[in-house]
Amino acid sequence: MNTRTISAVTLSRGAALGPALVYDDGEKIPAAEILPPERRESELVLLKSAVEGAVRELLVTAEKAAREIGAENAEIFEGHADIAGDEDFFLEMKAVVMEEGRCAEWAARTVSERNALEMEELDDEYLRERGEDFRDIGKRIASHVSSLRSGACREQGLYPPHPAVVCSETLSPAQTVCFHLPHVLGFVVSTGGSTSHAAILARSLSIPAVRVSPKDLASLKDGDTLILNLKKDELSVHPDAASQQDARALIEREREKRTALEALRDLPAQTLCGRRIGLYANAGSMKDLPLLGAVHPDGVGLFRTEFLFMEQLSLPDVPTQTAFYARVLETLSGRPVVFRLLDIGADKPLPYAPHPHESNPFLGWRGIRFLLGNPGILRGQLEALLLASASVGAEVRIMVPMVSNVSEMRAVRELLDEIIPRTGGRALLGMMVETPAAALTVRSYKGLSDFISIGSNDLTQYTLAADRENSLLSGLYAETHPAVLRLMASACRDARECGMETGICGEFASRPEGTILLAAMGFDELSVSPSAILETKALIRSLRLSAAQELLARVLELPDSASVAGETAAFISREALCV
Amino acid sequence: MVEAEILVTNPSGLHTRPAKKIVDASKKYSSEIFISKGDKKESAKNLIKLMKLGITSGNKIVLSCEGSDESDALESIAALIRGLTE
Repeated sequence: MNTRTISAVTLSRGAALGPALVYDDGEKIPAAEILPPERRESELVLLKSAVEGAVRELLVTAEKAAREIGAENAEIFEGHADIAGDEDFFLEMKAVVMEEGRCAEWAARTVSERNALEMEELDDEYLRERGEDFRDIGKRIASHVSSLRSGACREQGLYPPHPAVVCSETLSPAQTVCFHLPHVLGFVVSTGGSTSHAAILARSLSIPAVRVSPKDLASLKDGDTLILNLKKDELSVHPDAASQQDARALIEREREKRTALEALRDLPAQTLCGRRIGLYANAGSMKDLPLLGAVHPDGVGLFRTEFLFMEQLSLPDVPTQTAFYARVLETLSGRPVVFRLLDIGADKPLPYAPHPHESNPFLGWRGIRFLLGNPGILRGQLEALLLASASVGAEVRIMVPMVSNVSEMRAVRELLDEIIPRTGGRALLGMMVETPAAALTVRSYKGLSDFISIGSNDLTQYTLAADRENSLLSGLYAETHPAVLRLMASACRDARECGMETGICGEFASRPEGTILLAAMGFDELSVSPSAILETKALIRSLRLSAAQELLARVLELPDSASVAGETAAFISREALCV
Repeated sequence: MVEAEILVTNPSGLHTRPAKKIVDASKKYSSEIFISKGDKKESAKNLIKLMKLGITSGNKIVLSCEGSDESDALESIAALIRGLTE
């Protein structure tokens, strides 16, 4: 057999080795076919069983979710079960089968799509998101119909019958829930991104998954030996013996690493010498919240509120915002949550708030500058945050983006002082340090700002005058440039001396060199994406702070980012850090 | 027919789960039970239609019941909505 290598997109990390098993979900009725009247009754029976199967499966999933990731996540599935099992929903589908003569899959999909579209016309963002729920429910019912039709009821026997890499165009929750998971070595699919059900499920089960082109997927045959991710983003077909040996060794190493990481979940992010660092997560929408449940962060260091505003056709009113913020606070049950005020600019405009053309939007009307020009939006958001705080009984942390002048923080502080007594909420106010101006003048904000949080991505691009997205400048944009590091270090020191809490919420915090240097600078809190929490924690727990501080002192004197990177890499291997 | 105006105060409004509670409670009564928001009015016994009213926290709604057990229905369902917390 000739070895071939297919380029793939990794949806769930990890290597896998095993025989391919091409998932066959049975014969499908051509969608356009109109069933003759005598076949409609049996089609309806099939639909009815599929709905029952889907409801049963949702309830099982809800129970599993409640057990594994917390009761609040189970409600999503319970809600889906309520809708899927709703009598009127079934009557709508029944009419499509009996009156229009469409197949059961068609009925499930069209009725759910129709309902989804109607939900999406509602004003409330949360309710509009329920539109997507209808589509999920439709797909789930349709997939149960297919399983029943093919006669392959996988709930009974073991599927896959032997350990295998399952290859399928797509993977619905309905399919995967029936899988005998110990036999699933990996998934190869041809549709869906990193946020698809299949990808999320694969990640939560730690099963490697890749996406390949439909043509490549079709080329795979049952029994083909496959290796996923021996090199990242590669699928090997018929690999030679040496590669198989390498893959086995890699899989074993990954398994050991994962076990070690998972053991850290409930341990504090604490250096070898015992200094505790708050390890927070970045989040931006309700969809991120279940992920947080799985990794137990100490809080949320950056909750982006843009999502809530940008997905709406009109400005979300105060009650809508309040409900949304309250749900976030409730989910984090008492752990700190830092909400960043709406961070809008010409590069990310709101559909309902006209933005003038600017020739240089990154140096333009964005962040707090935009908010002070739109006082109604600012006031509404502050009110909603404080009302949410009052209703949940938890403190909110409010972070002001793009601060470059003391007058900006003073304006927000004054508004807040007026709103707090009226609402009964509790708040800390902080500034995002993402301009060199803010970094150099942190002391001037004493009394105005309770905490600072470095926005390392913007601070780097403003300090180095280098656009991160510009491929002509690759190599110029580097958080490890000594100029950027010095700004971060001095902002952190000044803030601590003024009694402000110090945090950082950029990608730099989760990169090994960033974690090490920022811990050495003395940041109280690092906020990283949920998927990076456990790895960052492992690194912190292997770190000797005194050694890191010596490293920091050395690198601040280096001339450029390349030498900083070299020095840090040598430190990592010398100290045998967990990276 | 009896009716009551109710201010919805639970944070997430009448989304799936709270709506389902109302539907389950309404189905216990033989009366026709409606909920209206603005000029839209739907049966409180239909989950999906109720969700599509798009009722959120802070909305004023009208609950109306008509039938032999209308007073009991009004009283218990109004109490249910006012007592929602999620």
